[in-house]
Amino acid sequence: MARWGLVIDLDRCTACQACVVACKHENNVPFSTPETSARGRLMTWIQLVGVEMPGGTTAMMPMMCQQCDRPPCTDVCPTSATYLNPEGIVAQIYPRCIGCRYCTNACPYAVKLFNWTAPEWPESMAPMRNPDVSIRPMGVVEKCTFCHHRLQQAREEARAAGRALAAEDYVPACVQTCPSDAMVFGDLDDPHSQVAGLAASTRAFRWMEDLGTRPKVVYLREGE
Amino acid sequence: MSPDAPDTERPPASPRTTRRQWWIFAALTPAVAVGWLLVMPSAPVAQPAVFNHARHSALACVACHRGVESRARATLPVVSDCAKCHATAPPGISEDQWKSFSGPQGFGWVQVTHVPDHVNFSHRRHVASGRLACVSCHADVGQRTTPPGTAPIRVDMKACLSCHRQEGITEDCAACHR
Repeated sequence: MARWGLVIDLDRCTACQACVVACKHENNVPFSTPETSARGRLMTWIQLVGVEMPGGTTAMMPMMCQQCDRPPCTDVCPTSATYLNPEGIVAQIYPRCIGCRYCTNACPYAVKLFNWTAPEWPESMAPMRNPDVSIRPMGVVEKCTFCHHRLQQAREEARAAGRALAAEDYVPACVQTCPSDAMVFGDLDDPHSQVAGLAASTRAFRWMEDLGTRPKVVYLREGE
Repeated sequence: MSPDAPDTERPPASPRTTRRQWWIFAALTPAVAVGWLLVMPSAPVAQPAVFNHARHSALACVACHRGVESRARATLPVVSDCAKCHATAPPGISEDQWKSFSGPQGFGWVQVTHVPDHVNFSHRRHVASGRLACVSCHADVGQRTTPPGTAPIRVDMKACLSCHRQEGITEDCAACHR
């Protein structure tokens, strides 16, 4: 079984935020206002975070759920609404979520978001919503799922065509959109995959890896 | 009158009146609740046209409900599907009705079997790949003489899981929840 992972090359990333827009559009993530953002209630599954790197430079890191192999959020969930699925994706099952927000506090990356209000869009945007992703109600926690619905569709397509799922069939929206090809997605357990090769490079690091969370989002540091 | 002045005009509450009111309230609450539970979910919807499934039993379901084997969502029939066999308005439908159904609004069938929004259900996955018969989830709709006003059976997660377990299909929550 595949173990899905994402490599982000910070040398290639121009911080254009195309991934941020693509993610919002793909996953029906509602808009936030500066006011809600100031209250710490910004809704975005992926955002660019400025990080001071060794050498004094600041890197803009696209930050989304790090899909940890040892996720702290799943340990504290009292209802098993969030758990590590067999393919390494930290899933979030909204009807099970009771909105206790233990997971949002346990996550060291602060990428789990609580729906303080019911999501709203301008009326003209209603037909643009993605029917493949449900609208999360008020009172549940949501986060990046590596566009898990795309995996389901890719699997179904492959099965209908009578072939096995190839790693290229499944690409999250952020990776598909990235104009500078800074993001590479694939099976980390496949030694021949590009993503596994990059994750093993000397430039590779995981964010806050000293916490022992073993993220499956791998960054490649700049300028070497 | 100042707010803390004693309210002398209101008559003292009769213990008998309050007790009677309490009994009425106590009797009405469960009656309304039970009535709601019994009546509301099963209230049948009116379909726009008469249709006899049983008389069409020689046809495969997919002949009219196109997309069952090729898409996530099945479709409800449009006039052009009927027109493959019916040159004019079928019995029970007036020519005027037939004409209006041929317009841009179509039949306006009311969908009675729903999958919750948070479920990632695909007909193709179940019918084409899983070889599941339509009757598994739609019961006796094919034998009915009138168009269904309610979902023929209630398909809940227990039903999904029992089949998944029996057939050895994934039970990963994220495989069906979205």
